[in-house]
Amino acid sequence: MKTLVLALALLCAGAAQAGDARADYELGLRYRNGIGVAADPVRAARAIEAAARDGMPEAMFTWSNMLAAGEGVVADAAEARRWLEAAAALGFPAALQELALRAPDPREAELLMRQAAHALQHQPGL
Amino acid sequence: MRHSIPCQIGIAILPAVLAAPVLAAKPAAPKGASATLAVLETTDLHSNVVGYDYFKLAAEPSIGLDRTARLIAQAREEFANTVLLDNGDTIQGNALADWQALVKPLRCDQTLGIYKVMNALNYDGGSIGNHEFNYGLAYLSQVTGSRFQVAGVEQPKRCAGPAFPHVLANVYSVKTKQPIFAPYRIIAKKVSAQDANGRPITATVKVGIIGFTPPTIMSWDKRWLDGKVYTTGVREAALKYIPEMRKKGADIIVAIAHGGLDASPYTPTMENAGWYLAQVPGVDAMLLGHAHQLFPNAASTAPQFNLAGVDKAKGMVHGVPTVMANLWGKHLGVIALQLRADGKRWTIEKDRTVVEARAAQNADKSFVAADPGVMELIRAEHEATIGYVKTPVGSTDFRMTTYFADVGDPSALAVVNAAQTQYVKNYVAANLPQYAKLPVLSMSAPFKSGLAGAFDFTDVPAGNLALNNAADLYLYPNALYAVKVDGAGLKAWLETSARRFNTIDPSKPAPQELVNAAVPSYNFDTPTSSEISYEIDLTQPAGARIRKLALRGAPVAPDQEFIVATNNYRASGGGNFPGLDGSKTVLASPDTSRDVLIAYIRETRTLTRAQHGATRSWRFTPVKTAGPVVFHSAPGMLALAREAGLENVSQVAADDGLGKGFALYAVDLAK
Repeated sequence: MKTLVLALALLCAGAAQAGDARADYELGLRYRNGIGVAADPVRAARAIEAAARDGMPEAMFTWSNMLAAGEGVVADAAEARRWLEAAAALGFPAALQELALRAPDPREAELLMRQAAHALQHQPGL
Repeated sequence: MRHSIPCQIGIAILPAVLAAPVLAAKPAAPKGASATLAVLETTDLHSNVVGYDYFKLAAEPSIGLDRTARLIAQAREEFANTVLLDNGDTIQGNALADWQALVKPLRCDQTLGIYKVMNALNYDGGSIGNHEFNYGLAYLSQVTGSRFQVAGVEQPKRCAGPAFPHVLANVYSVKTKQPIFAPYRIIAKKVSAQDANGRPITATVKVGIIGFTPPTIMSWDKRWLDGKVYTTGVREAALKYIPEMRKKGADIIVAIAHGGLDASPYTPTMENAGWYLAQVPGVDAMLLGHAHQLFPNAASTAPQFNLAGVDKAKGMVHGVPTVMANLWGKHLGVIALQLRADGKRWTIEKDRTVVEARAAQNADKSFVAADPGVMELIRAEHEATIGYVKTPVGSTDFRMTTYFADVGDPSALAVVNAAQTQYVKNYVAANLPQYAKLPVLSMSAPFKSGLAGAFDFTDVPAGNLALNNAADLYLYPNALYAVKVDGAGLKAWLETSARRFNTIDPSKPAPQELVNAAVPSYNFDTPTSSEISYEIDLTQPAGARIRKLALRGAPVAPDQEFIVATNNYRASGGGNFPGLDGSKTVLASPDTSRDVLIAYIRETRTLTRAQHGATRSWRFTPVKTAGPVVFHSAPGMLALAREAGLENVSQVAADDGLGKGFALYAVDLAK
């Protein structure tokens, strides 16, 4: 019984974490784009980074873009690349495509593009 | 497959081996006996039987089961005893698969190309990936030699299938409440072993194999599966069947899970359940797939491989030896188990297990040679697929090129925009009535603009258009997305595209380069419609160049709303266009942009210059410059610019002197 309670507690904590990431990301996008609030790049960066750190692939990709552009954060090309690769490792199609577009080796690019094509078949719709 | 006769014999005796009475009471081996057994894995082959790119119509040596076959042969030379298993996502993924499933559907008496080859390679078993369901249950039942008892599958008899068993423990028929495949099999494997004194003996190892597919198939292939089958969680299925397998005498249990690792809270619909599966008691070895990763891989930075309990160097997940052999036959997974008999059954000497993913690419970047026997087995299907890819789907009465896309030639872009616009308009009409009154625009960019050299442009000749031409016109594997933006957002989008150009100083007498090479052509999005019009003023700095933006002649207001067809890359934030970060997406289509284009060409039949190659949405703001504004493109193409109505382009020099084969052209901004 004790184990069950513990398991439930863990499960709920984890679910809350996943929910937090989604909420952080949506909040971050609102601040980034000024949707319903005044645009605030620093707040956007804080929330989107939090969602990225919680393992959300689309947040990782956006966070990578913001790091590259120095948007709400000091520009850091190496960190931007690291987050781009992390999003790609989780199969986020646009991240795989971005890596492909930047790959100097055409074969590597082609293979990354194919992986993106495959990953796109698993994307949830809206 | 050099030894075709032994292969054939192997195939012939395999069913007998499988049917062997595995529950025989006789001990498998005398106490103290030892043996090495290597479990070999292929995964996510995606119908890449031979290394070939059916859209480029060219060999692709980095992929293909024909090269993995060499790795299998090498492993069999190295290890006396092997069990070869496939993880799934086997029968779908390229034009060959489509040809066999959709274009010339396989007859009941025919064996699927990839299964023919797998039979010849003496696979011992396989599991079922999510993509096995892509062509529907009737097709899967047919080609696997099954007879699914599910609604809508009427199969009077068992069709030709693979000579090895498929196992899948977590997909059930709604009609019968039974699994649609055998959930597990226990394979009595004859092995070469040593007795306690080191003398060679033959013995039997009972290898239990059990398979799992991502429960998320229920949403991915809803149209085929809804109401017909249901899934259980991977962990639940393992907890149910593994004790049963042990009871039936399995010495070792190999879990074949089409999924990767994920430490999110477990749910019965979890896609990548390997991290939890490894914690189910009784799993001796785990074969993973689906995530298209390489495991073990000490150098990997993938977050999933840094989870608690995962040893990415040794290939262990919670102490269970685990392999994932990448994809497309690029690697072969090898788990070498050292077995010792205790008089009753075989046990694994865990600290002596070695896990590897062996690459078909050598250290010097070359690839192992393809096994020519593989091509021999599927030559007819391979050639028929090439014929299919070359079959016309329509025609064009003009040459479609990107040589002058930077100065406004829409000839290779307009058909893409037309196809995307039509698709999105239809979708909005059917599914998004709240947006029915919004104008639908479309953006596309030239994907090939000479980056790799003067040959590297889109150039589709007038005449028939086949599937491979559609790949020329739409190079990248994007999916079609649509976003809702306002007038300010649309302008910002066009401003970002216009960063493609340098700022031009009209008073400079020296030649000025038109294109800013730091901005790739795939980020130069433009519409090609008479509905929308604007100017790009090159005398202004980036971000302040778009002028006279109008819809049907009326200036666009900043709060005016639009639906814009684009692709997943742009809609999700690719190129970091302002406001495009997923927050504006109103349509995330499962259809690829290329398939949308193909469907449009099929329906339109003939593309004409007037309809699909003449309309421009933008022009440069007229300005007289003291010196020439120049750009680089393939030599001798000026006639194409004229055909596109670009009277302001001239060729300055047939060789721009930069040594890459480009000519130097000029655009007269005053015209």
